[in-house]
Amino acid sequence: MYNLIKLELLQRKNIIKILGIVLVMAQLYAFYCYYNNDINNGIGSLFIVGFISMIVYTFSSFISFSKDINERERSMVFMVPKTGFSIISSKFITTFILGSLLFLIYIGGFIGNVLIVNPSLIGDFSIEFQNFSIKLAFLTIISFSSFLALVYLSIIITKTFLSRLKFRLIITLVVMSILSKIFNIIIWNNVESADLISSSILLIPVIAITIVMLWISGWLIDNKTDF
Amino acid sequence: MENLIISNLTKGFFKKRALNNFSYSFKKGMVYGLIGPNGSGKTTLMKTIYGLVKPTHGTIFMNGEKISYKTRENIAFMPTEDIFMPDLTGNEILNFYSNNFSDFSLEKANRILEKMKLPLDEKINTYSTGMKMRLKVTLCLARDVELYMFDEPLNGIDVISKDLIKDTIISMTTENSTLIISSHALNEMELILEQVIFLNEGDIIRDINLEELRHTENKSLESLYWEVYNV
Repeated sequence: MYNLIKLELLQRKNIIKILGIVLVMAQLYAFYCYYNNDINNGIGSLFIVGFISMIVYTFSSFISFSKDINERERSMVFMVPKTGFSIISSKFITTFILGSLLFLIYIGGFIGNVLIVNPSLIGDFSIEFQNFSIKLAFLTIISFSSFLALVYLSIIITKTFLSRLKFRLIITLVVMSILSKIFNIIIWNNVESADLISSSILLIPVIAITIVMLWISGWLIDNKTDF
Repeated sequence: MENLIISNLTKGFFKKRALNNFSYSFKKGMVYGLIGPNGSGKTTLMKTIYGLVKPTHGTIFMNGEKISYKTRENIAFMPTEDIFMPDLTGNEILNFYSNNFSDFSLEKANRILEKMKLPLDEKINTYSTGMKMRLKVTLCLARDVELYMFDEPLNGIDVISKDLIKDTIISMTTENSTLIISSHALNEMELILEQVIFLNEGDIIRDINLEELRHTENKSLESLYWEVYNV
C-alpha cells in the first residue's frame, strides 16, 4: 500500500503546491494588514482563504477520484496486482492525511494569528475551551473521513450498479444525504454534551461504518467495475 | 501445455455482447494473434483476461487459478488506450511499475528506452501518442511473466521503434511464455504470429495455424483476412 500512497502523493503535488503558495500569500497579506492596524481585514482574509482552500482541496480530491474511476485513460493504478480495498484505501489515506494536515495548519495558523494580534489572550483560554476545541477538531477530522468514504462509495456505485439508470446522480445524492444525516445524528447532536471519552466511544460506529464503506468500494472495484 | 483456459466467456455491455460464449485454451510457448475488425471483441477479451473487465458469464483460469487481481502478477498487459496519469513523469511511472511488479526489470526497461529516446524526466502530458505507446510497450516488455498481451502494440509507432518492438517481442518467445497480440498491422505481425484467431462479434470464426497455412496454401495473413471477412 505504501507504493500506492506514494503515487497518490505524486499525483497531488500540484494542488498542494498551489494551496501552499496561496496560504503563504494570505499570511503575508495578513501581516501587511496588521502592520497597517487593519486587524479585522487581516484575520478575515486568512479565515476566508483557509476555508476556501479546504473546500478546493476536498473537491479536487473527489474530482480526481471520479476521473480515476470513470476515465479509462487513467487506469494505471487499477492494473497493479493489488486488491480494490488496498487501492481505495491508499486514495482514502492520502486524501485524509493531507486534508487533516491542511485543516490543522489552517486552525493552528488562525489561532497563531489571533495570538499575534492580541498576545494578552495567551493563557486566557480555559481548560474547558481547550478541551472543547480539541474535541471539535477531532470530530471534524473523523467526520471528514466518513464523508470521504461516503463520496468514494457513491462514485463507485454510480459507475457500477447505477450506471444504467437515468437519474443515477439524483439517487446517489439522496442516499448520500440520508447517510450524512445518520452520521450527523451520531456525532454532532452529542458533541456539546459528551466529554472527550464518551465522544471517542461515539466515534466507534462511525469509524466502523467508514471501514465498511471502504471495503464495499474495494469489493465493487474487484468484482463489478470495468476499466 | 495449456496455461490459460477460457470457458463460455460472455461479456455484455448494455444490449450489446462484446464476447459471446467464447471458449479457448492458450498453450505455453505459442504466439497468438487476435485478428478482427473494430468491435469484434479483441480488446474486451484481453481486458477480461487481465481482470480489468468483469465477465457477465463464463470462467477464465490461468494455471488453474481463477482470474483475479492476484493473477496480474503473472500477466503483462499493454492496453491500447492511455493509462497514465498526465502529471507524472516517465521516470515516476517506471518507478511505480518497479515498485508494484516484482518481476519488472528497471534495467531492461532502461535498455529498451535508451533506443527509443524517450524524455523520461518530462511529464506524460507533454508526450505524443507515439511516445506514450513506446512507454506502454516497454512497461510490458520489461516484465518477466508467463503471459504477455499486447493490444495494438504498433499503433502510432515510428519505423525504427517498430523494428525494436518486434525484435524484443520475438526475443521473449520462450517455451514457457505465451504471447497474445492484437493488431491491424497484419503484414508486420505475420512473421511473429504462430496461431491466428479471427474474431467477429465476440466469437471465434476461424482458428488457423500460420505455419500450416503457409505449407498448405500459399496465402498471406492479409489475403486470409480479406477472405474470412468477405471484404
